[in-house]
Order: sequence, then structure tokens, then C-alpha cells
Amino acid sequence: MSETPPPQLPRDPWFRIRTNLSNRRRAILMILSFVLPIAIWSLATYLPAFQSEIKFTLVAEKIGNSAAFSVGDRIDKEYFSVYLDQVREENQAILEAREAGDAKGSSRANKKRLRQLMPLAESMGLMDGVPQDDFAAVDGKLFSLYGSLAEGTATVSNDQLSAENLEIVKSNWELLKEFAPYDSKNFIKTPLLHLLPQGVSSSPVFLPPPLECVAAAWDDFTKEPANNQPWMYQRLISSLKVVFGAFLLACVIGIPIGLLCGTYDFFAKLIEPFTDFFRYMPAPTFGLLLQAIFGVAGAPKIAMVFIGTFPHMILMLGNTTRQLDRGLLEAAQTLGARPRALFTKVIVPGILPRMYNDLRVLLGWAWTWLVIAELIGEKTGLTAFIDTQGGKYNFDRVFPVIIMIGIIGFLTDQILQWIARGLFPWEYNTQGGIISKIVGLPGLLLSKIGKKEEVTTPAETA
Amino acid sequence: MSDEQHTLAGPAPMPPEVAERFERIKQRPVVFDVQHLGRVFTSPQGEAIQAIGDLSFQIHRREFITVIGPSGCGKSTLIRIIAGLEKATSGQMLLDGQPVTGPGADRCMVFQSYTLFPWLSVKKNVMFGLEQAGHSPTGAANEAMQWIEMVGLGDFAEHYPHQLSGGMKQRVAIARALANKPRVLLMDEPFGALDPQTRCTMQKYLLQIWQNVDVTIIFITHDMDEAIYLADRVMVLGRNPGHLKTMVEVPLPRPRDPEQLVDPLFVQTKKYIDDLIHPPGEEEDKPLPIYRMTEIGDDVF
Repeated sequence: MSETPPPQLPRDPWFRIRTNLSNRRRAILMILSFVLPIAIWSLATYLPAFQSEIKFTLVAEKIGNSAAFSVGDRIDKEYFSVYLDQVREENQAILEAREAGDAKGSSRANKKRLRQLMPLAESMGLMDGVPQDDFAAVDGKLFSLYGSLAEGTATVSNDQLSAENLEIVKSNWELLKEFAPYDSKNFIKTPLLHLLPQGVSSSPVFLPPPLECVAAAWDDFTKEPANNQPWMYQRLISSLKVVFGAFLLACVIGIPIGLLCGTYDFFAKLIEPFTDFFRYMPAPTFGLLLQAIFGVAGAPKIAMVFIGTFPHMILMLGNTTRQLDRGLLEAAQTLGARPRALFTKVIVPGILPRMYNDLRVLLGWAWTWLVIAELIGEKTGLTAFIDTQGGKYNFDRVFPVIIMIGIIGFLTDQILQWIARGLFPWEYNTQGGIISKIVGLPGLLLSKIGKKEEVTTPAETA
Repeated sequence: MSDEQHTLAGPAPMPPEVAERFERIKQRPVVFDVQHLGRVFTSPQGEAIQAIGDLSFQIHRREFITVIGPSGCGKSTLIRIIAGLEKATSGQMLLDGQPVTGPGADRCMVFQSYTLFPWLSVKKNVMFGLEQAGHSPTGAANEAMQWIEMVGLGDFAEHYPHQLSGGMKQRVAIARALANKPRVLLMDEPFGALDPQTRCTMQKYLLQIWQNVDVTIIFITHDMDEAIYLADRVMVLGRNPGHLKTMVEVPLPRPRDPEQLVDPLFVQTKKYIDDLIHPPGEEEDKPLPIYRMTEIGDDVF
């Protein structure tokens, strides 16, 4: 008799109301929750369909009503074609004027048109070692590049210089070659044709592609900054000082007050109503006031983060303390605990896990106030960098710093949660573990000493 | 069924040996004396609500008293006043002849919700009261271990409460209370949250402990079987306001055994107390307005 195959269990559905998925599925989803945003970011920046702008690699000088652009600027794709047509029309007008013989030009304007090849020359390495302020040398190099491009001795890809532009180069060279070799004093006055603007398809300026951000981050985090600016790690340390300095200060003052409010109605009614009102006044509005009181250095920044976290700390801890099971206090009282012991032996240890959790949440709040705090007075820390680079629209340099703050906050939070599981096994239904052993080490040693006493006590009584 | 046909059950007859035992108990000193105890609450609307009227009773040393009554009769308020967790608005309580007011370790309480300190191990929980009384840590630890062994949890001394079952938690709570050597052990529906089997075992344990420890017990319950099975005397409370209806002397010999639950004396005592708590005619048993929704199952009545 052949064995009947075990009945096939139906696969668990992915969607079941309030039912946990298997650990494997949970792991997959947790990874996806980070992979998906990065994937969306990549798609939105690398897929041509979403690349709504053109980033200039070659620009024409100001034409008609159009604004002047520089290499690296981005404009809307639709506007780019309008701009392109304007330049073509301008070239047509120049040709017609030359035909009619009333073309008005200047050597100065023509030199500018020559310099349209500057980015190309730079990318070919022709400008290495040429001082930027030596215009004659720069223009000379460009002049010879013009020649070698027109005569085909130098070849460039279509991306660097389009076929249409190469034709323009050749047609300009027909006039230019009369003035070879280059002499800045004696340069062509007949107007040259504009090179057509060229650009690459690109994501909008506010959404730099991930790899650009990585490259910018590599430069910003590992290379010595120019102009005596602080290193990124120095900025980070400065920011950490503000966050943790203010947070610790808030803890030192806020924890005792919060505990008192939760323990005694007297303090709750005396302190909490005003605190409740005070917390609705936005902390940033105190910026200039704090600057007037504490100056422009570190102190007003710490004060700002403090103001942002401290009132919430009092209210949260007061509330947490009040939520301690009244039964525990009553039990302790019937076991003979006096008020002092009720506070130190029941209230404090009883709310410790939740207080820890509250403080963890409040630390997150402290981070959110950091950016506003660092704008007070002298801009410092990571915010100064974000603010400066953001002002220049260098979002590829801004994003890595913002992400770094996120990672630091997230990791701190995760580590603190992990520590909590070791510290408060009863709250998380765990067995304790390494951390509780490390933290409990002094107690363990004490109990060992206590056991030695135990051995001696019966001997003494006997 | 009319009221005339329903005969009220009287108290069950007292076997002579049990009556003798009650005589002996009455010879013992009075441990706890409650005189004209009253408690008035003020409702949120400002009305005065009398929770407990004029309540007086005496408990002799090592007596086991259970308190039973309909909901709202103030039995929880009573035990909280005795524990000192609430204040009486009139009357007084004497413990060994001395008036008591606030909470103290001489009247330890075991709560239905266990109230073990979750951050302390079983041993440290039991040590809590001892340390409050000024015992040295080593002395307290030794004593605590004895009590933990006594409730059969020696292997669990280093466990945390969350690792224990409900019955075990309540044994720790009892050990924690008894370690203080209270004059009166107050128990507020301590087994109410346990399943019937565990509850049965716990009742057995409690009687064993009580036999071997010099402690007087006041035990609140809403389970009539439990009240009769455990008690020397059952205190039956009435409501509006809470008042003492009767102290019923349980006519069952000790030691108690679950067999006694079907003893005619037990059954009659239960009927007697039931009639005291729910006087016939007080609440009419109206049938529910249910109409027939099935066509089969005519054997179901």
C-alpha cells in the first residue's frame, strides 16, 4: 500500500486582520520597508520618464528675453526647446545681417562665444595648469580647440558636442581661421554664430539621484573642507553636544519635577497647568529672546532644545507616574512602607521602565528642535552646513546630512530599546540577558558579599 | 410560585463537638474589635452616600472569618477601612485593644490582583515588608526563604512575578503578607481571578497555612461555597447602607475536606445564607421575552 501524501496545508494569506505573520515574512517586509523608499527614489531620479528637467552642459549667452544660464543649471524640458529655438533664430538673424552687410559685432562678444566651449575644454583636460584669470591664455587654448574640432584633429562624442554644434563650429572656424594664431588684441569683429545650448536629461533640482548624493557625501565626509570650515565629524560633535547637553539638562531638572507631580497632587496642581500652557508656545519663537539672554554661541541653542523638551518631560513623567498601579502602593502600605519608602522603593522602580521609554521618545523630540536651535546666533553644526548648501540648491550635499541625522536618531533609539529589554525583563517578558547582567553586576557582587556574612551569622549565634 | 409557599431556611443544627469548639473560640482573646463603624461618601454631585451604616463585630484570635454579601454591600470598603487604606467616618477599630487608623504591617492585605512588585524577584517581594520593618538584608532573606518554602515555591525564589502562574503569584502574595507576622491577614477576593481547580487547591493551601500560623483571617468573597468551606464564621452583609445581617457560625467540623461540600449541614447552611442575601420576592425572576426560533430540538427544556 502506498503511503498517502500528507494533506497540503493551504498557504497562509499575507493579509489577516490582527494576526502576526511568520518571522520570515516579517523579516522580508522589514527589509522592504527600507528598500522600497530607496527604490522609489532611484526610479524617480533615473527613469527618463520622471526626468522632467534638462541640466546644461553647454550654454548660450543671454538671448532675447531669456535669462542667462550657467553650466549645471536645470530648466524645464519644454522651456529648453523654446530656448533652443530662440538661439537658432538668433543665429539666423546673424546670418541674414552678414548677408545684408550690416552685421554689428565686437571682439568682446565673440570671445564670449568662444568661451562656450569652456566646459568641453575642461572635461578634455585642456585647462589643466592654465590659470583661470589669465584670459589670454584661456582664450588661446579655446581658440586652438575650436580649430582642431573644425578640422577634425580632435574628436568628441555627440553628447559633448552635437552634430549641429559641430557644423556651427566649422562655419565659425571659416571666419576665425583668418585670425590664427590667437591674439587677444586682434580678434574677429564679425559676429560669430552661437553654439546651441546642450544638456542632459535630469531629475528636478530638489531630487538629486542617490549616486550623486553618495558621491557628494564621500567628498563632504572624508575630504578636508575648504576655507577653514569644520570637518563634518566636528559639525556632528557640535550638534550632538547641543542635543545631549540640552537633553541631560532637561532630565536633571525635569525628572524630579515630573516624579513629584505624579506623586503629590500639590505639585501637580501647582506646576502642571502652567507647563501645559507653556508648551503650546512654540519654542522657535523664543530664539531671539534666548540670543539676547545667552549670546550667540552654544548656550541659546541648548536653551532652545531645553525649552522644546522640558515642559513635555514634566507632563509625560507626571502622567506616567500617576499611571503606576495604585494597588502596588496600597500593598506596600499594608506591608508597612512609610511615605519615603513608598516613593523610593515603589514609585521610582515601578515607573522606571515607562520613564525610560518616555525619555527615549523625548530624546527624539530633542533632535527635532536641534535644527531650529542651531540657526540661532552663529549657525553651527550640521544645520549650518544644511542651511548653506541648501541655499545654494546643492541638495545632493544636503540629503546625506539629513539622512545621517535620521540614521543616528534611529540607531540610538533601537539601541536604547534593546538595552531596555535587558534592563526591564519584567516589562518585556524576557529573561533579562547580558545587559541586565552587566547592569546588575554591582548588585550581584553585593549579594555575594552578603552570602559570606550569612555563613558567619549562624556561627556567631551558636 | 407564591411567597407563602416558600419557607425560609433556618440555620443548620450545630453538632455538639462543633458547638464546643465555638465555646472554646469565644474563650480566646478578642484580636479585632470593630465598633459602630460607618463610612459616608460624597458623590460628585455633592450628595452624601452612606456606604456602611453602623457596623460592629468582634473577632477572636486565630478565627477565620469570611465576609459575603450582595454587590454594593460595602464589603470591599469594609476591608479597605480595616487595612487603613480608607478612613471610616464614624466608629473605631481596636486591634489588641489599641485603636488603629492608618495602614500598618499588623494588618497585611492580599489583593485579588496579586499586586506583586514586578521589578522584584519572588524572594525580594517577600523580603519587602521585612526590610521595611528594619530587618537586616541577610536576616530578611533567610526569613523570606522560609516563607517561600512554606508556600512550596522554593525553586522559584529568583523568578520574577511575570514568570509565575496566577496561583503561584497569589501564594507569593500570601507569603509576602505572612512574613510580616500580621495580627490580622486581610484577603480581598484573593482567589477571584483563579480558575476553579487552582482556586480549590489554593483554599486547601490556605487552610493548611492558617492551621500552622498564628494569624487571624478576614476573607472577602462572593462565592458562597468558598465562604462556608473556609470559615469559622460567615459575616453576611446587607446593602443600602452596608450593614451586618448575621454572623453565621458554620456547623462543620474541622479539618475541612472538599467532601463536606455535599454534607447536608453544608447544603442547609448555604440555603440559609442564600435566603439571607437574596430574600425571596425581593427580585422577581421574570422570564426573558424570548419567542420560539427553532423547530427541532423538542427535548430541550
